[in-house]
Amino acid sequence: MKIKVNNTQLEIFDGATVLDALRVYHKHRKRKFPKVLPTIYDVYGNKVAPDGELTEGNALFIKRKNKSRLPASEP
Amino acid sequence: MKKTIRLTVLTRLIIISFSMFMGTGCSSTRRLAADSHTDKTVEILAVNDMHAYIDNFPRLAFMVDSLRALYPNLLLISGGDNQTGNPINDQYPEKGMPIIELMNALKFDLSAIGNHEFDSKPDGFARITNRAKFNFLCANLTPPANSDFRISPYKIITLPNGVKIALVGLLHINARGIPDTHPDNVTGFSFTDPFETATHYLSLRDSSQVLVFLNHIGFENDVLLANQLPHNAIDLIIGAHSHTRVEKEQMHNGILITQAERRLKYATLIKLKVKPDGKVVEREMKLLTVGNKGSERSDIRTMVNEFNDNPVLKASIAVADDDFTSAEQVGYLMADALRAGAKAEIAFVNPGGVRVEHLPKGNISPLNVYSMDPFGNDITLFNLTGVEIRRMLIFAYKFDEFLPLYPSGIKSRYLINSDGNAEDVQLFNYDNTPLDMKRKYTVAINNYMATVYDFEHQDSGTGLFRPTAESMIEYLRNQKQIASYRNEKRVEIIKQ
Repeated sequence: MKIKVNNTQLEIFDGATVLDALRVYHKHRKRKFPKVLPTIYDVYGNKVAPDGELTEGNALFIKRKNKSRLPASEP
Repeated sequence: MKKTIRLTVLTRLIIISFSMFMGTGCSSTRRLAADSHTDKTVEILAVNDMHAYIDNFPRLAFMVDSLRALYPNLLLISGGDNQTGNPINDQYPEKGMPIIELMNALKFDLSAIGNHEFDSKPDGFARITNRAKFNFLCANLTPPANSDFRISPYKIITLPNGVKIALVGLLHINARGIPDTHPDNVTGFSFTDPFETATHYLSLRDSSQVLVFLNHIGFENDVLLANQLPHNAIDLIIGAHSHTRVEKEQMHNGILITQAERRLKYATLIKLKVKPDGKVVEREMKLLTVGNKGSERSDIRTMVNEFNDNPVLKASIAVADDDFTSAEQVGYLMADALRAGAKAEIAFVNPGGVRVEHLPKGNISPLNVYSMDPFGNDITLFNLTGVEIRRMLIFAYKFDEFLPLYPSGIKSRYLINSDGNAEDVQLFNYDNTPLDMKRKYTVAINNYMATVYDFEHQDSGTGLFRPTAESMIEYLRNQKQIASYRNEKRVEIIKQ
């Protein structure tokens, strides 16, 4: 299935979790997987647990030092 | 004067009759009016994806009791995935019953059906739905014919304050047309698309003041669904599946969407205010911390301790004829169990995934298995050619600090160059004939390997939604007697 991490589209197996997606993302970026798991958000600014179950089209964001604005819900 | 009184009485009778007539729902869009002139409130405490985390139940019980004292009409609801994630529950002789007994003790009103409810397999799931004193809801599944599942698409509850609340369950269906579970677990079930099914239940507005969807489809899908429905078509989505922590109000198309992460770390308290005309005018939510610290209910603590003290994890499930004297031997056993569990032609276990180097002859228990395989990995299945398998083995050898993968179904010969890297890997069938490198094979590995190994291959793989440890427990139970692996040699390392 196709999902996105930090706006990078990735192909991952059906049934993958958020943690699986992070591993694939770091592999794709040729980066070492961090020793401390970063905070993970969805596109609506909610935190997501690393064992969260993904579905087609999910988009995840890893918190970075210079925080970028995430879309909010309705006022 | 008498004429004035008669007119007043007649006017009042006309008004009352008109109100009653309108209250019978002659229009399909008319909400069912409340039967009093005061605002009413609906309070719901929602949890989701508990995954059998029974240790937090004593604390939850205390919180529920406190909230019920404040809100006598409180509904206690689960968003599904009550099962899977705790060996105490998952390996219980009646698989999955501890969490159900605890939910009964807390008087849960309803549960959605999550994908992990099916992990008990059809017979086990049927038993669970019948043992539960609460309803399981799912509108987009049909149970097997002649089965005795106690599942409803929706339920209408009349609260003591007179408010009628309709709740509908919806479950995520993947590209294969089933929930995220092993296909064997849903034999005989049929499923429909939850988005399409949702539209068939909007008419429950006619018979209730509050309409709630109890979704096990993931937060982003909850938002998609909310935006596809007519504005304010429903009042609330209680969500699950994605383990999302919704800390602040999430309103989408007039619909409040909640989710309380997972494993009873949190619960969402939801309050709805209903006007006399039946309209929901206020929606609030607050994420409460549950956890396992703080006041708890002692009788529930006693229940949890009894479940935790159950000797089931130490009971013998197979007998080993000989000692296992190396990680390699244990790795071959794990690979054989993985191949059997996945019904694959070939399987590999990574050396880092084998946490036990010695296993004594004699009884093997589920605890032994969890010691060998403690990571909670799941099985993933790939279709790989011989060439792709070789690429994987070459990559993994360097990645896994110059240790080979433990195979089942084939043998491997690593040719190591002067740098210490695997220059080539030759693959053989068990009869020592070379593997057909152009042919495709079904290959089982764990999800960790599936995500970190970087090698060129076509198939992106499929999760089988079965933990590798649970698959091994089943394998050992079926085998009962485990022959010696002492002389088993499936990997050869040749340094050039």
